[in-house]
Amino acid sequence: MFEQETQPELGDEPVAAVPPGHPEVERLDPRVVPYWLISNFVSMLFLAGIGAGVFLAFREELLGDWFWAFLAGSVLFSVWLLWSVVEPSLAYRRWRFTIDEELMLMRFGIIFHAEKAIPISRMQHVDLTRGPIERLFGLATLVVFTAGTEAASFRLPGVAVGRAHELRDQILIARGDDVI
Amino acid sequence: MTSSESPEFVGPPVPPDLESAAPPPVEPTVVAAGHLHPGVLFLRLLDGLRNAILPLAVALVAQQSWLMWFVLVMFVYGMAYWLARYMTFRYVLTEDELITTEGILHRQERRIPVDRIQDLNFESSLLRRMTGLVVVSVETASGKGAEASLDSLGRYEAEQLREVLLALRRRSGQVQVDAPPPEEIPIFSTSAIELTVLGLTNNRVGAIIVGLFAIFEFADELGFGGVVFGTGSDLVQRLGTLSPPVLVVILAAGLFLFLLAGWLLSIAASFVMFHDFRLTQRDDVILRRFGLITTRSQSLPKRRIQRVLLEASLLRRLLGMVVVRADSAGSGMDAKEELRSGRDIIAPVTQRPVGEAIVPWLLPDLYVQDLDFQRVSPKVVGRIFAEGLLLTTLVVTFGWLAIGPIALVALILVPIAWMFGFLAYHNLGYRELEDYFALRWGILGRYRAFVPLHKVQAAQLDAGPVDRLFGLASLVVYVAGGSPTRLSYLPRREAERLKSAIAARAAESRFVW
Repeated sequence: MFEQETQPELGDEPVAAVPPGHPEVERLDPRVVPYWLISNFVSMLFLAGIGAGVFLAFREELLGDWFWAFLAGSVLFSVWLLWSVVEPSLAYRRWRFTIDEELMLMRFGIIFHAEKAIPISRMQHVDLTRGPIERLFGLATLVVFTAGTEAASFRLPGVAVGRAHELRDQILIARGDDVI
Repeated sequence: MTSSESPEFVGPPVPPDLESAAPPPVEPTVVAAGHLHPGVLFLRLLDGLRNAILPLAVALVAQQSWLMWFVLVMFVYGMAYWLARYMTFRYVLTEDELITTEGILHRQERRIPVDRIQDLNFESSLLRRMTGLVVVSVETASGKGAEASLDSLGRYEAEQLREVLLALRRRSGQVQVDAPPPEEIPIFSTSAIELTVLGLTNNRVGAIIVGLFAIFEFADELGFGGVVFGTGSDLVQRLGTLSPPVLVVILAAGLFLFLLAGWLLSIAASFVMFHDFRLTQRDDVILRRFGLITTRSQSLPKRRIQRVLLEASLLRRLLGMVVVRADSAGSGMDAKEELRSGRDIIAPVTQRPVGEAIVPWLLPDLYVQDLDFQRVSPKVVGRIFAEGLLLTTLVVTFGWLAIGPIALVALILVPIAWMFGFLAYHNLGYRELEDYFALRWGILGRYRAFVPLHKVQAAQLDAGPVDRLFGLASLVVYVAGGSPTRLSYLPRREAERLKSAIAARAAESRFVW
């Protein structure tokens, strides 16, 4: 299922868009793994809270007639817990991105693969967002907005702050300023 | 980690002589200016009365004088508010901007650059039409619906405003100023037959059910509920005593009447919505006028068109009809609102050749009559079949657990899944043209989309686990209007190539709204 090692690198493909000698394909900052772990942990905590609440409210039934539901719930929760522990490092190994003069390319997704190509000339504005946990790890998320009504923003998470600033400036310079 | 590494924070270098180079401030020439039409006060009065009437009735019935006072105060307050808005609202059109000002305490001024104005749409409800008013909404590409709304202007004044605005835009569009005003070329208009077909092929069964339910509720409220229900159960009892063939005939007749009512309702609705639909072109602007009770008049500059769709649902496909739609930048309404206002409809429904002939009017040099589409991978059939099998297995397993072996009926899904896969394969297709990307999809119906490559915002490839098992992927093309266009079940390599090619082609050109 996880064929990231056998996947060709982004640069090796017959990509007409990327001229020879384009910037190197980059990975995310490795610190993104603990960051994702912690944010997963927080959401798991939230889920566990809800689960505990439900359990306390329906304890009699869950341990009695609805034992199968209790069982299914626990199995689901454990699988999810396991997944949220494994997912960050897998996601980190899959993530690739590159930004050149013309295109921003991203490739990610463990089970559902996604590859995005966004022309620099289409970008309306570029944001850097940093949540509290991200700040703790010195990371930033680059959010790129294109014109459009639906799903018009593209996110590049887990980039070191300095690098994120560089990338942003690189995009702004490559784009020029004749965008409405 | 913030200000110490801040060279990056500094913006682009400012030319030192910016101050001196700036042109001296010139008072812009006012091209048109005005207030709202006083008739709008009359409309507000009617609105206010309508809103007050129910609480007033309640107050009278309940004999509560404080409630009456409350209603009165609210009514006076509302009227004063609208009067104040009316008195203070003013619009000014200069050569560069449309400026609206309003408010007494909280003054608000809104400036919209003329270049950015995408649409000047007119809409007038029945009441407004009787008083000669139109609501003029100014739409830009901001993606949030109307940027400003002038509610309401007199029809003549509104027409004048649009003329002036179009003239201004022509000037900024590098067309000779002396050129005679361009003629309006008719492109398409609907016939009564087409509107009837539109109504017939719309699925309005839901509307009838809601209507019947409403009637029943209403009867119940008036105290007839018992009667209706009584006759209902009576009817059921009597039906039970009838012999099966008669029962079948009666049920079929009932169903037929039900469908007939739905169709009539639906036909009426399509006539109300699209009565006298006319599509014309003036300059580079497509104009639409339609509506029976609420008349709408909308302009759509050609260069704002982001995507054109030719849609044929099953029934329409069998009749050889299509719906033509065009997504434009910033049509940021939700789908329901869009459907209600007919915002993106180019042709409500028409014969396929006519619909195809409209496309080059919208997207220059695109002729789609005999366009060959390239088929996707035949693995599609297996891919959809696999999904169907998975679904069937789940349904049968859980069904068996819940209701026993009768759940095996769900096995009927297996041939259906295969058929769907087969049909999907036959409809799926794509074609790369010089300036456009054409896609085709559908299972029972057939849908075609044409995307100008220089309007593409981003390209994306998605591959879920089942897709990857079959070496397939979906291609998603984003444009600045409407929802993203998705072409599923391409071979992965081909999808990757298309994604890169489309993005590269888009990157070549600067995007113009």
